[in-house]
Amino acid sequence: MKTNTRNLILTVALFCVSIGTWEAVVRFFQIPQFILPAPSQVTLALWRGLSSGLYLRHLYVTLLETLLGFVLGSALGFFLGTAVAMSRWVEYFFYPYIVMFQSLPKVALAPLILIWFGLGLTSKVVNAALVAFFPLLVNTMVGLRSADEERVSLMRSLAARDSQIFWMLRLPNALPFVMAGLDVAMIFALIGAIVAEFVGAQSGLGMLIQSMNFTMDVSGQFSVLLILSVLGLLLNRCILLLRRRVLFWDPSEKQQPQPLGKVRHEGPAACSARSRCRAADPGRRRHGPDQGARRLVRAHDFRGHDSVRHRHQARLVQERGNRGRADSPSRLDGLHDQRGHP
Amino acid sequence: MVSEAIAVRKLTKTYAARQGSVVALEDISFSIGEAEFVAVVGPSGCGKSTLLKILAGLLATTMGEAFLRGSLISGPRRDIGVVFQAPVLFPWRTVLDNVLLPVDVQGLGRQAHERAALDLLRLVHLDGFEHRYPWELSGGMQQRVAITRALIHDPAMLLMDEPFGALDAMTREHMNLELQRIWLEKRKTVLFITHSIPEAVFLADRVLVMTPRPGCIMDDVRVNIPRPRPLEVMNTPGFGEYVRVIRKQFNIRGGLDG
Ligand SMILES: Nc1ncnc2c1ncn2[C@@H]1O[C@H](COP(=O)(O)OP(=O)(O)OP(=O)(O)O)[C@@H](O)[C@H]1O
Ligand SMILES: [Mg+2]
Repeated sequence: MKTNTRNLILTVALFCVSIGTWEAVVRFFQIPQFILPAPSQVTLALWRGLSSGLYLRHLYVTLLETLLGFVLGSALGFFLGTAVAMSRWVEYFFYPYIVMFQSLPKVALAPLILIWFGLGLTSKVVNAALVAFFPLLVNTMVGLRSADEERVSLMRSLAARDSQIFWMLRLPNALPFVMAGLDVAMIFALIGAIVAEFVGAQSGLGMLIQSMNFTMDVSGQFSVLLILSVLGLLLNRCILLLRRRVLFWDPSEKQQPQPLGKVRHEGPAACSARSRCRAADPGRRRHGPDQGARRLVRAHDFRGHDSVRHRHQARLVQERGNRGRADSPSRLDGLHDQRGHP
Repeated sequence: MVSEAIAVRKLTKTYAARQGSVVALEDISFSIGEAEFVAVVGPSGCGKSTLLKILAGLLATTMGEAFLRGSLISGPRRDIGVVFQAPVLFPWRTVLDNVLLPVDVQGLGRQAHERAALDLLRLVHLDGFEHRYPWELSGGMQQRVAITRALIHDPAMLLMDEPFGALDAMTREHMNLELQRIWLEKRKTVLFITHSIPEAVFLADRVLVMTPRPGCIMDDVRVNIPRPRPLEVMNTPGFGEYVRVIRKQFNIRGGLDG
């Protein structure tokens, strides 16, 4: 508690000092407003934009584009990911194209999309969706595939149908991965929408930034950037809330980021009741996550979100025990695993 | 033969691998009677898990055949319960829901089995934990949940692959006692795979001793110690003699690790 209060005070102090320094530097060196506006000018621009309703109107447009693009792209990514994960056939024939498409810088696509879908909402939504869909595709794919082989064996030994294995095991198992994918997809959708607005739009925050750029209204641009970053933060928070709800069963979900001044203990001296319970469990020492999965995810996910998924993965790998490893999917010959490349 | 729960005839299993094939089991034959508790001991890699997977219908045989209660094994079936070395619980299911997994999979009706699940959880001293999640349980408790899950659909037989292998010695002895108690109450046919000779002698009516790879059965020891067997029975000369006889076979054949 004490450290928390101290940290809060420090945070506020640090913020005030940096803003104050910025203001002082701009005034002292008389930096022109069109190069670097002072915080006071940015605040003023923000106030004017907000009170006139101008910013809110454009914010609404951008938010709508982002959310629609997010939903569309995520759904697309989820279904494609499921198809690729569940069918070797789809993977063999389609996955190379999907990867090829992904290696394309989406910004370069935006002008084309604008030609195809016009200056209105549709082109922004399409662009946002295209940028957002890939993280979901990869995560869904890896998540569905990463179902622990021993759990699959257990399901099979109960004479479960493939559809039951999917719904009762693979899908819940993929959820932490999917949530991590949604997290990235949300921010990507925002980026996609803004980029499309840059290329050509009638409204939206991206369009606003660009028109301010023409009139050299730099403090205006700063104020819109501020709005955008707050928007990004809020959207991210929404996903975090959703994730907490969906992954209530995942113990790694409940691990709060540790505040400064608190060192995380390992072993029986750990603070929370849960970590104690975990330390007492012989079958649950942490090991590195599945290497293949890590490489695949890392390649397309350059933010730090995979920690949760990795912890989850590590747990699965651990629970699998030593012996279960002997029957990796490719080696489980016999009655049931007859999928193969066409 | 009368009422054979498990019958294995001239069974051979070969794994096809890139660098030539591996013969895991070679020409194995044995049978297990109804309600018999049979332990299988053998050195690591001798094909014990392979045998269990074949009996569970998870793996096809290369040659020979295996029967459960008179019918040829051709795939997974619903009258067996399997316990693996790891508990293999589903973290998104509560203890009760984990126990009810076979009921859900086989569409047996939750309503009808919830009572039974709670009774079984009481049997393994886990009452009060039914709404907890697996990570809130110790390793031994998790394994007890796994055993309960293997019993919920009232299978005719239990296949257990080193179920207590990951537990510490004390928990393991405790679990052995519990398993014996459950078995005395339920009288299922049990095939119990283990590395530990004392564990096998303590629990089983019969101990099948396997040779190193390729595995075949080199001895079939009947354990005539009256039940219920307390833990102290392990200190008696009779018990020690069984362990010695079995261990000697491995010494001749080149060692059992551990
Ligand atoms: N999927 C597989 N593909 C190829 N070879 C395999 C496979 N599974 C097992 N083997 C081989 O078959 C042999 C028997 O394996 P198995 O897992 O049945 O041994 P085990 O007796 O259970 O050993 P342990 O006591 O260590 O668990 C081993 O030599 C192993 O190399
Ligand atoms: Mg084994």
